Amino acid sequence: MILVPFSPGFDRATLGACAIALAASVSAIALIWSRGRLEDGFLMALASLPYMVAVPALSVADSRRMHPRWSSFLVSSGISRKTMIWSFYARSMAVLLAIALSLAAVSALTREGLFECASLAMLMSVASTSVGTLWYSTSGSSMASDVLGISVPIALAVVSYICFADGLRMGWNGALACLMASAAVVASCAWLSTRGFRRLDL
Amino acid sequence: MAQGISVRGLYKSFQGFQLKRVDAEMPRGYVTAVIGGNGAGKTSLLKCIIGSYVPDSGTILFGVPRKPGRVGVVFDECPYPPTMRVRDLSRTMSKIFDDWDAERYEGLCRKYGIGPWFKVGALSRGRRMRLQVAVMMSHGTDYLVLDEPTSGMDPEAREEFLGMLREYVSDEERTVVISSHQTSDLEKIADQIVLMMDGKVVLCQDRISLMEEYGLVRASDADRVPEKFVVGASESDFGRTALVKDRKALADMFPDMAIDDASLEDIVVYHMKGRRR
Repeated sequence: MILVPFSPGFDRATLGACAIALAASVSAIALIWSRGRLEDGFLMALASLPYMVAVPALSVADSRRMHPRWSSFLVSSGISRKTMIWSFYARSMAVLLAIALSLAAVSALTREGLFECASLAMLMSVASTSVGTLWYSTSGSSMASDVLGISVPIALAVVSYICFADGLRMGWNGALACLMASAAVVASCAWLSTRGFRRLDL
Repeated sequence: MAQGISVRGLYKSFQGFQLKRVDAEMPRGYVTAVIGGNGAGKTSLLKCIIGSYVPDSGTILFGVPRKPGRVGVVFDECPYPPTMRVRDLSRTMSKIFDDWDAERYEGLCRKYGIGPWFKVGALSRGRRMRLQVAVMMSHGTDYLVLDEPTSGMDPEAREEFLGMLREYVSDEERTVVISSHQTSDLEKIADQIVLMMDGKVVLCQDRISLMEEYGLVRASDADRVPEKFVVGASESDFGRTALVKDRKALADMFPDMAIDDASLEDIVVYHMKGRRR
């Protein structure tokens, strides 16, 4: 997937934040599994780090790319509007794919609970970010992607953490349904964005 | 005259403003100046040419096919992300332009006094404009589209920049389109003039014939000029001053009349006055 060129320093910082959050999360999940103590509050907080740090960080990075003057410069430099739209949705699609793979892994391991609940928050974040991207590609304003891509993931992270800590679990079928629904939202937004962005004055 | 950029019947509607059936020729090897008052449609026309604005109708034809990365642009506002550092900009541009010349970029930044660690947003307006010029000059181009490129530059930097543009078109293979309020700058480099008002092209011709065609008539002589020659006029304590067209015919009709040369600025200002009459 071609990514719209952007500041390498900013990209490094974003990826660094995501990598640290993901590493902490994976370590926490591994510990939870090995000890079989799903009630451990500290480990749960670590496990939900990607939703608290990585998802908003990625959304901020996306939002910084969505600037009409920068898009205008890129268009004048020969980068097509279609490429730009695909680039905006690249992260959403990558997250969807990652969750689909993790669901498949969970299904194979028959360990339900942790991933499904986390996936739900992630999927809803991806869907809300896609709506923000759609907003930019039809209006030229990245305000919605700022709001939807940052506040929604943080709110969802808190909600999913509370639900999980309270012992709420979701079945594999429910998680799969959420995945399908999110994929439908992302696909619809991407399709509408391509049409809108083609006519957008930058 | 080889075809550079040809704008035909361009129509674009915005909220409260329209580009109305714009026709203009911007020959290859020429510097074409797009001039006019604020809100005349200059930036909109330039943005249509570079593809930022999508025209409602009409066509823009390029003599040399517009290849990706072969258009250099300078916007009136710096388009680079404000958080990006000058050094990082070079790395980003190397991903956009195949023939990016990082050494040339660094050299130009040094020359313009722009340090590699500065963030774009922390630069002054003049330096941001120079940064855009440095980027534009560091990759190969067939077309240059410049919107108010000299705004914020001191006289020395402006002179240097204009010299660079002159050199750029000297091989007669490239096309430059420039919009500016600094008509004195344009008089030094422009070969072709496109005058815009209220979203329309009022005139499009080469600068030399334009300067030959228009003249200024002052005081009592101005009162004698037949109305069909008058483009616009102004009144002051010293009497009337009128911009006249078809200067040769007027001189033949009134051999004793003193007709002074009109500057590009006079032509713009009096056209605007004539429009308001």
